[in-house]
Amino acid sequence: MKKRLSIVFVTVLVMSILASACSPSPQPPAATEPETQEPAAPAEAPAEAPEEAPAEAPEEKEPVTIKWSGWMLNEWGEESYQFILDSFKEKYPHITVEVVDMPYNDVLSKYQAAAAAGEAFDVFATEVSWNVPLYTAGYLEDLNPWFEKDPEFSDSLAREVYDMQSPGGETTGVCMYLISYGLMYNVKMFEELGLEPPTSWDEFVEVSKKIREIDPSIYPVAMGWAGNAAISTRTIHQLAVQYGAKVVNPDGTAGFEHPGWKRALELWKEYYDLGVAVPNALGLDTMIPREMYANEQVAMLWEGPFAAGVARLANPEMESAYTLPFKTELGTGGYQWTCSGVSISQLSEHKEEAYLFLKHLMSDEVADRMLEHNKLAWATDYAFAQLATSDDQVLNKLPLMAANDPDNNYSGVPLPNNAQLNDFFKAIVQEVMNGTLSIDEAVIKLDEEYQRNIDAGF
Amino acid sequence: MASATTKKRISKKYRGYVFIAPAIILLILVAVFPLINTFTISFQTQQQGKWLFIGFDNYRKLFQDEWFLNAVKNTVIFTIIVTIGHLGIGLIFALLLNERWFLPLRNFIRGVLILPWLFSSAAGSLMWSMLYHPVGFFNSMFTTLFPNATPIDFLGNPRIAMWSIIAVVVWIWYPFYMVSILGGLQSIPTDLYEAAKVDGANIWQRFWYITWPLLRPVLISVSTIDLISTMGHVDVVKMLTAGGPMQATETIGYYVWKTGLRDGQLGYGAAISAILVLAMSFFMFSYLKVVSKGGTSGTNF
Repeated sequence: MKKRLSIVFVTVLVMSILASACSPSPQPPAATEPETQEPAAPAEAPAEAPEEAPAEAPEEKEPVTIKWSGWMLNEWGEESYQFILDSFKEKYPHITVEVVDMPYNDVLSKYQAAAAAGEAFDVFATEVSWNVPLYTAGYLEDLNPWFEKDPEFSDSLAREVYDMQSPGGETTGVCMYLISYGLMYNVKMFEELGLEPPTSWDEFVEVSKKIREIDPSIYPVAMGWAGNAAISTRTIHQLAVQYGAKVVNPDGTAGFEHPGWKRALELWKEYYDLGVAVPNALGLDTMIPREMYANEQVAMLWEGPFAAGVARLANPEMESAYTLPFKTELGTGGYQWTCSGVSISQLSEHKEEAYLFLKHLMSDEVADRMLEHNKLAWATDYAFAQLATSDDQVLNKLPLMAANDPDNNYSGVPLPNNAQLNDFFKAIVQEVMNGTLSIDEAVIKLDEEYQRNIDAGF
Repeated sequence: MASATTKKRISKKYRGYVFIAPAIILLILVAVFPLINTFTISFQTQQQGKWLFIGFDNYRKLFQDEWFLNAVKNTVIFTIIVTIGHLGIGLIFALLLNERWFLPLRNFIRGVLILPWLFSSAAGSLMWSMLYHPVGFFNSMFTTLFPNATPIDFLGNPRIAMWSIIAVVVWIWYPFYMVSILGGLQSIPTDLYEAAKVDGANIWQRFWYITWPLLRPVLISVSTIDLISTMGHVDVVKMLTAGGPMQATETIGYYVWKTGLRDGQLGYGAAISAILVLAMSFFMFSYLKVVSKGGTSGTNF
């Protein structure tokens, strides 16, 4: 009996090891392969980058299906998605685009799983902070060889915003639409309350108190401080940047010794303790403030311009406007920029078609549509030029914000272990707000941890 | 002739293996292969899509990782309290449903009590997140009753957040344990209780000397299932608090998801999983050894 069991056990073990060895995932190689420190060979770039319009008769081409993934279906609405797909199909009838939409919070993990499984989303929406893990997973196509063959298209992109640079120096994506975070307010609610939008932090505090006094059923603002993004880009970073602080100094060192960080934490802590905002901020997810703003439960929102679009989808009558950068005693008030981007998967079997779709996404007709219907500032020179004349009070502030103090404007850079650093930042800020960590200790801890990661490298 | 008989005997001898082969292959594909793969990956790291062998580095890193150690502590607390909650509430409701005087209402009450089980963990978490909302049902009631009180910070207060999550996990899955225990109770012969009554045993004595020993095999099975499933829990934590505030609700399961899938450190995530599997195996082995000691039949797995 024992012998039989042994035979079964050994058979199971051998078969498992064989199966494990033959597994396509994780992708080769192997433990024994020489240590590869160099980046993977650049993807084969086409001899000529594909033209915007097909040169040959489309019916002669093989039908191809590509996958376009992202999280924006609810943000942009089905009509805008359909417009993008239909206008692309008109140009390239042989290419079918399959949309894969997923909740924002799950996108990165889905991409990671796809990378591990060797499965490609040919074209996919992405964020700068996701570049490091996706780069590590070998998922991002280097767009430099494509751009070298296609300078006209490359030059039309708003490169001054920034490309989504990977740690290895490749261009691993392009900024699709740009976002400057700021304090947004509901114009109608402010009119009804008889209040003027704040122009400084002190006024922001005063206006917040007045809103609660005038109508206790509404709150001035909600902070979704259970989420990484809301605690960093939307609020604390936002204010620190207005004080001239940066996460990473121009010399590449961690920037938390800048007095702007301490000041930003002090002001937010005072505001949090004041108790005028929606309570329980440490337990609120990033999405809750947006929902409360769309439902007119809060009058202001620290957010990017897309939040105004999302609120308008839920409440078409709503009119939002941005306040201009607050004047601070330490700086002239910079703004934090970021953008959501678009990349091509290195694993794609249809890179040419994927590149054509990427070009289409960044085309003037899509930019026009997104500006007009979704109030999104597309990151192309053409679209950026339209912003100043836009009648939208959120969008037409963007060039002003950018020009306000270009030196103090800040855009995120890919950092080693970016996601863990964001978690660390969140935990430290939560401890400060909870009163279990002093602000002096907090900035020291932040500086040490960020520097440790920067030193460790990618 | 002799050789043909031997052949026949051999083929008969191995016929059993042929019959169990599909099951074994399935077992290899869904259990053994992923397990071995996890252990293999735990000794590697990924660099630009290439896998590099790094020996025990992931394991070394793991025991210096404060957040991992915090997750271990949280998981132990979470698992023990959730299991006690599931079995305690499940047992109480099962005992009530098994009572004769309860018969007229039994089907209706059983249906109501099973309701939470119909919720997926995502739907359940979403519903509870609305109940826990600062201006949600609980806080509206609370601030109506106590107008000067501050709303309860269910998910943002590190002292309360873990309890808020435990309440949701207990609420969603207690019906499974209730039904399992009820099945066990209904398999106990009624004449044992009648005999005990004739002998003058009171309700507590009947429970302690008849119900409890005969229910033990069921309780051991369901508690084992519960401990295993709770220890690796991810979804409710992810949906309600994302491990926060201040990592107060970060469990090992969530930490594995975060490091492995969100942060792309598959090797490190696999190392945590490997440790979790080993720890769970050891714990389960010890647990079953202890609880099965002197037990009745059916306690051995």
